[in-house]
Amino acid sequence: MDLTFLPDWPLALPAALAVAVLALVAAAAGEGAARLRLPRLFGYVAAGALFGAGGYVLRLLQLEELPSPTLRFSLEFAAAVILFDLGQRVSFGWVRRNPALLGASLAESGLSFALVFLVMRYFDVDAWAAAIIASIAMATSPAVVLAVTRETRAQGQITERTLLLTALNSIYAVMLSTVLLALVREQPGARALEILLHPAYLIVGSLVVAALGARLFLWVLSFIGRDRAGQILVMLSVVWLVFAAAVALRLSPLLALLACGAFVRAFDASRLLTTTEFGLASGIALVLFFALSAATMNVESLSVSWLPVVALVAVRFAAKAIGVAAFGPLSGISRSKSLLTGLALMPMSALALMLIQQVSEWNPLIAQQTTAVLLPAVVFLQLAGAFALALILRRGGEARNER
Amino acid sequence: MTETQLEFGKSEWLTMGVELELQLIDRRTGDLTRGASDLIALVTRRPFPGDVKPEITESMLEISTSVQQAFEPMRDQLIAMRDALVVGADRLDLEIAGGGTHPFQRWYDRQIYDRPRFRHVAGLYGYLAKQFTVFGQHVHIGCENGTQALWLLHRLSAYIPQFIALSASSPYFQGVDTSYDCSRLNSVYAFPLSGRAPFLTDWPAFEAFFGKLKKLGVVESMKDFYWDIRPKPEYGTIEVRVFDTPLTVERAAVLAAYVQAICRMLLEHPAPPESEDIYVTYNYNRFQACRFGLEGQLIDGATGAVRPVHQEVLATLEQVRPLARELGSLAAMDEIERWVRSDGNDARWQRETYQSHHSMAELVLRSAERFRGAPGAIVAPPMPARRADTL
Repeated sequence: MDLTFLPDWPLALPAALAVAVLALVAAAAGEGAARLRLPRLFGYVAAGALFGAGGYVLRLLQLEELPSPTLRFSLEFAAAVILFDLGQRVSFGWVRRNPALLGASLAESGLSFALVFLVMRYFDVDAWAAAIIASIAMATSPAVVLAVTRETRAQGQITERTLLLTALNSIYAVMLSTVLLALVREQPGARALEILLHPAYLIVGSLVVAALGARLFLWVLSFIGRDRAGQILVMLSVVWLVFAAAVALRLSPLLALLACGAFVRAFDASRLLTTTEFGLASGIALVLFFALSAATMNVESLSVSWLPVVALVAVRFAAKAIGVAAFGPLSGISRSKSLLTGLALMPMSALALMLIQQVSEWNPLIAQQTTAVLLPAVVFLQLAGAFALALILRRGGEARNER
Repeated sequence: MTETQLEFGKSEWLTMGVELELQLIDRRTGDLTRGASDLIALVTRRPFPGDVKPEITESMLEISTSVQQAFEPMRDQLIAMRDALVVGADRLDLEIAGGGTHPFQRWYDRQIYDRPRFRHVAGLYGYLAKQFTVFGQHVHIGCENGTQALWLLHRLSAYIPQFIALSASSPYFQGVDTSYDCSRLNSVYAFPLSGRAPFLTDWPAFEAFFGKLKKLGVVESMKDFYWDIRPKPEYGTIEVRVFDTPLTVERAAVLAAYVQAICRMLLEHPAPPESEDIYVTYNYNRFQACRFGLEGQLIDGATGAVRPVHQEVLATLEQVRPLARELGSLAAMDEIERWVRSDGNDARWQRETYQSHHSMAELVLRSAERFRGAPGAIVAPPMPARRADTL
């Protein structure tokens, strides 16, 4: 009997199908987490970890192994959408009207950097590695903050301030770590001019790309009207363009996208943004981001000495709480609410890991030292931080009943 | 005093007080947002030039003036309160807006402010309580005793359609043009104890009425009545409650001065109305004013004459002007004449603004800008052509 019309076994499946299968499992797992009264992102991360662990599940499904270019691109694009969305939450106007917010932001970020750096040095981490770890520890996870505030439909001062401070500390962290990484690269026998030129190019270039992207976005949006699908399409296209331009020009895509979102808000004189709603797009990006970042995580490096990690978590926690609470009453809210806001900044950013991958190419030692501390810290602080944030928003009376 | 008795506190005749319910707005989206308790805590760190209280949801707050004799100090106090609130709101990244309704808020999103009375109201009225996220202005007028308060209440009810039409600022509700100038009163009307007060003309009779309802368990206090005008025994006032919160505090002061001047006129003949017949066309006229604003057609129950609201206002202004001069509120009367002849009410401004931007969020944010006030906003520009000519 001739059965050649049947497909060959194993099936020849396109590699990118892994993203679809992962997204499907993540969506289901997210719902499972919600039934357990956990933030949905627990489910997304669990699904991603399942796929990531040794690539076993993927081999079983005859799919491409991780990490792969397709998955990496999907992850970076999801991150780009999230950063753009968070950037839009930054109101330069608010910071101008209430400068104590900038004080709180600089205090919590500066204190986080200083304390984490000292602790790392205490544990004999290389000075450059310690500085990179400390700069990354400044950032609160944009993805966690957006996911949890979105899911709890939170509204109020703790929510708004957490979003603002997250956007600001992410900007500092991306700028500082980008500069540090550039300096590490130039380290052996570089001339002073080169040392200054590279970071300057990175920051100024990223901001220029961001500003151009923001102008383009608002210009196109102004004649899209209120067609929601059109608006989302414009947003995704501009995010992609800015991302691609930043990569091609060897700038910082993270900084460019955060800044692009913030510029869109700042340049929007005719308030085009009030008629837009990108929540759906960034909601999808969040699912992919959590699942993919867990899937692409290199779990083998989790075997580390835990003491520096615990110390980092503890001092970072204290630095953020003290920094924000110090400026609480001055910035117009009660001490207790500002303390809650400081604690809400706990989730640590997985973006850190994306930055570190760059280092490994040219300085394996620093890469190894930073990952050893950052990876477990991120894993713990993302999950514990998400849980804490949900709790804080509920306690502060800002989370609203889920429908 | 038994618990069903209501002692009517004495006030000085014609003193007035204003309460305004205001909206807290998210600057980014124009939607209602939480923040009443934070804003109140912030603005009361320093002595607040008046009183500020939370209302039933976290996105609403209420300010009230002290007892005032005249228009100008009343207006100045409202402006001082407004300025203090705006400074506080700026630091919390909030906007404050007037208007009888929020044009597009979804009522099921509102959170009930955590206080025993508000929890009670929410429990009793269910979705009505949340849908009741509407914003009104209350004007108190001081009375010397309960009986005087009741006859003033009934005689003032003839002016209710004017008050509704002049203050109307709730054309949009839950995302649609309701076709009403004042849609807010439709929400109030859903409550069982709304509408007009029963025709009782002396205080002991009113006390007996209240006592009966209280014994039956229908009401616990005067607060359970949502009447258009209700006596407020503990202040010694009657409280006119049909006004939508105007878009500016300056307008709120003008409306209060108008009520005061009319009450002053009614004082010329201090007697109760003769019969309940004054209410024959009450609900009809009230509807006309809500639906069509200043263009509403009012029917005189006694004579059958039909007149549009704007003509009624002009006729009333004619009558009260000499008294307003005595009360020092002539500028307020001029302002009302200007609304009637040229500017129209806030509902008209809201519709024009929406029609030129096609965005409810933009409408809310522009309303919030208007609430901030421009210096000299009260000064009337040169009088343009008569409104009647353009109809």
